[in-house]
Amino acid sequence: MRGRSRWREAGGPARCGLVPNRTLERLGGAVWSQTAGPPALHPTVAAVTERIVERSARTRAAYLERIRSAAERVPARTRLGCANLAHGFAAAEPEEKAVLRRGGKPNLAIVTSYNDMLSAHQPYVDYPPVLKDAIIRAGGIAQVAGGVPAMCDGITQGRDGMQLSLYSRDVIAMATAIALSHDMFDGALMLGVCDKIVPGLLIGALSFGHLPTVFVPAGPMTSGLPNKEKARVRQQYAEGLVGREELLEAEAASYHSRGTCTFYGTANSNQLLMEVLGLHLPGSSFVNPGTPLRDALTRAAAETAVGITAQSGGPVPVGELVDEKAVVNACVALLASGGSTNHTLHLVAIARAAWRPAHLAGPLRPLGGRPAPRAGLPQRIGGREPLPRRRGRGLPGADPAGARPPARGRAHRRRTRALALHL
Amino acid sequence: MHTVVGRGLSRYTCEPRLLRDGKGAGLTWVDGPETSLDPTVLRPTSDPFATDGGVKMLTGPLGTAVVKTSAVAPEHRVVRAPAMVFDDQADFLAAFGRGELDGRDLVAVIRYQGPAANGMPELHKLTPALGVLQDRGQRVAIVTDGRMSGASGKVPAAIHVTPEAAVGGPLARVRDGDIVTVDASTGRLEVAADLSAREATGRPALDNEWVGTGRELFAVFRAGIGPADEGASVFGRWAMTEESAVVDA
Repeated sequence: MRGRSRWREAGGPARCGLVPNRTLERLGGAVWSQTAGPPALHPTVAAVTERIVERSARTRAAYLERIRSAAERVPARTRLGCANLAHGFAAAEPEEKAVLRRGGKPNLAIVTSYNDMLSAHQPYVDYPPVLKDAIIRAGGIAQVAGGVPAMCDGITQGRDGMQLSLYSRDVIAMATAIALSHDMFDGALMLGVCDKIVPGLLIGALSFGHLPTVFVPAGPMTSGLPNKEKARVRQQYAEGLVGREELLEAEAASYHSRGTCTFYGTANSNQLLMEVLGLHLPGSSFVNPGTPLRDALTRAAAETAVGITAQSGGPVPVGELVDEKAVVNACVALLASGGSTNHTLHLVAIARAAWRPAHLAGPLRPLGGRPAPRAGLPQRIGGREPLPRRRGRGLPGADPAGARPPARGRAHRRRTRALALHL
Repeated sequence: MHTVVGRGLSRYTCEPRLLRDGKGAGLTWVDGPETSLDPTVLRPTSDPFATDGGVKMLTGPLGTAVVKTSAVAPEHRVVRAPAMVFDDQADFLAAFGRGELDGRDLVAVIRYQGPAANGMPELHKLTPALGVLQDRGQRVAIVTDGRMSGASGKVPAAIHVTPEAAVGGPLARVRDGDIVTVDASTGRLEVAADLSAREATGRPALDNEWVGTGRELFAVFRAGIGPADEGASVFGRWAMTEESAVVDA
């Protein structure tokens, strides 16, 4: 069957996933432990997903073939010429150098979007040494493969710099590709939070879709001024009722520390989508920077990345992971949560990167009617309903094969009815 | 589906905790809450904020667009008013400052803001001004080939209009006074005028006119970018031939 990869066919204990590592052990007991199992998939969502599979079969197959053939060539650095390899580890510590010479241990690329301009990205200043330490303890090795640019739409709003913003997503994808083009890596960690950075990193990562890849968030700033109050002061300023000093006071109370801005805009929509796509550690998006829990999650992300490399027994390549179900899940989550309209662009661009090449608009035509004129997202999956359960439990597309069969309890009926309501 | 922590999304209903035991603090995951801790933020599916779309598509003779309705009050979801056309958000703000928008219903058409024109900027500065007019009781809406991000707010805004004005989309032929309808309930974006006989007016800046803030370096992006409804990406064009063959097959 198309779309079944080696690592899926390898089988394994479904309850704990295929990859033994400490993070999975900690998570192992959580599978559908509270309720009656995954809810039934809504027929419309199932049909839309099936249509995408059908209509994009050739492009998806071409993409998977490409990344599988790339996977067969890893670890690439063993094939590097000696001069190339020596360049690749020249700056490494002696013991790291020995490991890279020998091969055997997974070498992870860290792609970072750290800078001081984005409050959400500033915490990444400390991440590379922390990640490297955790990776070494977990039996791997890591190199910062490259930095990508990151710009803040909040700073450039209404100014000329904003005209570079959308282009920056594709620049970031290209910069990610340049970082990974050194061909030294068995997996990757992507450090980014804000609007264009996460989609750009993911598009770049999908070009190296054979690499197991974990996204590492940095968390939101704590709440400041309530958003309604901020909007009220902005409007008063527009009317000339308050001055610049009052306005700056309100803005500075809203945006007041390191971490992601505290409204549900594009950056925080990114965070939700990375969880729904299964690229973050569960529940890791919204833990404040500089807290012990944040630090523990960062280390656990590093450990997880080591655990899903080929050297650890079961590679989980990012290109296999971002499949039709995952993209539909992301659309549903975006709509159910009232997320950012920017993702009507970015999700399409991300999907195109994993279907070589793909026209998401075609596959996602509304069912049963005339083709939507070049629609970016399906009209029929419209709804601002909250997720059936917190952070995505019951999202359609969750594969029921690995979980207990659904019991027909009250909770199950409630979820099913709710999905039927809006889809 | 698969995730970095195994098969299915069930683990993503859990939340991480640092729990102390005899050996110190350790990371673990516990079951997330069964019910919303704050129904003003997160609602059960049995009692949702809305049963229809928080983001909707609009279609019609002006092209396809996206509108975010979740923060727009039901009484503002349909706006039918004369167009006021601006080719730059600064012109709009200047007109607002001069009081030219006062006391009238209007659909602010902000065009030449698409990906091929100027990189499809977010146009948040429009929202406070139009919010003021809406609060005074005027019927107002935005139609633009630019972006508004996730915080488009209480004024209905038909954004990402495709095809964009800069590549000859219908927005280029809209004139002041045309009656434009933004109907987020039926998903229509209408104009009560025959645009086919008209010449386009206005234009985006030419490449030799881009100066400052690095924008002159991005000519290759402006020239190579695909339309908004295909992701507004520079990585698409090379693929079009094979892609069209597959999709149309």
